[in-house]
This record gives sequence, C-alpha cells and structure tokens, in this order.
Amino acid sequence: MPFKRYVEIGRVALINYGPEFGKLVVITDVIDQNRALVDFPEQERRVVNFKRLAITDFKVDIKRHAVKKDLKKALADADVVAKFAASSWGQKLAKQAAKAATTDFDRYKATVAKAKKARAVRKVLNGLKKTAAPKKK
Amino acid sequence: MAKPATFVARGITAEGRAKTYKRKGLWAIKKKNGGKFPAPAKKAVAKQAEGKAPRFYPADDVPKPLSHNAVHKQTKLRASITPGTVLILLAGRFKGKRVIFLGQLPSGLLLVTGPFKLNGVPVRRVNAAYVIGTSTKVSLPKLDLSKFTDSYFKAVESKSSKKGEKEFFDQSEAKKNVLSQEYIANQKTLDAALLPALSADLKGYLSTRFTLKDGDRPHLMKF
Repeated sequence: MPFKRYVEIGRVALINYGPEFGKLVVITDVIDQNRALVDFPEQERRVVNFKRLAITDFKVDIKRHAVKKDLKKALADADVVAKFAASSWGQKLAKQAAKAATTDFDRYKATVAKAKKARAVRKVLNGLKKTAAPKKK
Repeated sequence: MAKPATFVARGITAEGRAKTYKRKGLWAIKKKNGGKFPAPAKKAVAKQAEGKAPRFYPADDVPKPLSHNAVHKQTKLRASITPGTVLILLAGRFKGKRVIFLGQLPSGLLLVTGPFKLNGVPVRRVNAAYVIGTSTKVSLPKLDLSKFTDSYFKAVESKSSKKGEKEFFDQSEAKKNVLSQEYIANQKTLDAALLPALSADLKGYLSTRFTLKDGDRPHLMKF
C-alpha cells in the first residue's frame, strides 16, 4: 500500500515531544534526511528533527522558505487549524488536554456523575432482566 | 537620600573624605542643626561620691548574655492558600481529608476545619508543609475566629501520677479525656456559620477523602 502522507514543503505536522508537544507546524524546507525547517504564524521558524514530528493529512500550498505572510494566508485559505481541531486526532488531543487540566474538585464531580450514571443504567438493566426472564420455581 | 558609595576594591571607596562628606549631604545636616551635628542626649550617670571606692564588686565574671536580635517573621504562605481555600491534609490522623482554610495564626500554622459536621475534622492547626492547596475556593461568610488562638490549641498537661500495680490493673479508675463543653460549643457555632455557605456539591467534596489511584501521577495533577 502506498504512503498517503509525504514529507514535503507545505506539509502540516505536529510536534510530538517536549514542551512544544501538540503544536502544529508547517514544513517549509527539508534540510537533510533528519531535519526539517518548520514555521507557523506566531511561532519562530526553527529546525526540528523528523523524529519529533508527526505528519498530518493536511498540506498547504506554499513555496519553499515561504515568508510568514504567505504562510499565514495559505493556512487561512486551507483552514487547516480548524480542520485539524475537528479531526479525530485533534479531538483526541483536545480531550487529553482537557483531562490534564481538571482540578481536584472537577475530578470529584466526575466520579459522582459516573456513579450516578452507572446506578441509573443498572436500575434499567435489572428491570429488563426481570421482565425478560421470569424467575423459575 | 545620599547616593551609595562606589568602591574601587572591597572596603576602599572611590572618593576621599571631603567628597564623601559632600555626597552624603552631611553639610545639610550640620546646617540644619546650627553648625553642629546633632548628638544624642547623654544619659545622666549616677555620680559616685568622690574619693570613695565602691563597697562591693562582683567576685566572679558575670556572663553577659549574647545579644540576639533575630526577629521571627511569620511564615509566608503559598499564594495558592487564601482564606476559603480547600486544602488536602497529607499527614496525621486526618490524612486525605479535604478541609477549609480559615486563616493563619501568629505561630505560622494554618487554622483549618472540616467542617466537623461533614468530615470529622475539628478546628485545628496544621503545618503548611503537610498540605496541598487546591484551586477550589469557598466564599467564607463573616466568621468570628478570635477564640481560635494558638493558646486555644495547647493541650492541657495531665498530671501523671505514678501508677502502681493496683492502679494499673484497676481500669475502672482510668479517666477518659473529656472535651470541654466550651470547645464543643465553639465547633458547633463555627459549623453552623460555615455550612450554609457550602453548596451540595462542595459538601460532598469535603466529606470525601482524597486518595491516589492506579495511574495517578500527583506531580502532574492539577489541584
């Protein structure tokens, strides 16, 4: 099966390591086998190792070493940020971030809600069991 | 204010005496006091009668106590701990209990309560080191905490009488520690003032214990 995602100029990638974990970037140049020059609006252009990049389905139409202005425009035209956030990958990341941000009180409330839900489900289930299989004897 | 001195090397100022005089603005002080530096008034020394040696002198050297000027400042609190903050106790009998922070005492210890009605933690003092401050805050009503001083919590020393064999085996004589009525009443009035300020969610939250479960990484968790 052929590859669907390639390392190429304009490829949108996700940083999967370190303090920048979860940040979207765009590959603006491939330096060598191991490293890419990446850029994004509101970020500094920098070199990142491919090991630290996870390549996404998205690609924007930019030239090699595109200036910030063009990059910004291309990203806005393709609506990459919103599309990524809506994808299952983006949703998963958002969910993880939300879970990490929960406070002690939130966790308590979640446990209570979970227990409440389980109780309701069990009640209905037991009712169904009773009607479905009347007791022997 | 006078500018600070500049140093050429440690202990050697860049300026001489005259320039230092000018920099410090000593001339202004002199001028203000009519050409003389103000001197503190000398203490009147009781004059010995002339020609008479003191009748007594200390035979031994009297040790002079060392001067200790250290001022004990109150322990600074973490920014996350403010009155009304829900704290998690980490040590002791009440470890894992969630309590409400009421205020800091002059000793630096934290004044907390369960409230007692909810989780059995009475008004007590805890060290801030044994506490996790959560981001949950309770808006406290006006409380009268004047009774709860450091001395309020000092345990009354029980006079331990020597136990003989007879007393040791005679358990019926053993007295149980009984809390004073005042102590109980104080807790009750405080609980009565606190409880209406808590929502049902918060009441449930405070009455459960904090525990770590499998996969919990406390250093990465937010409280």
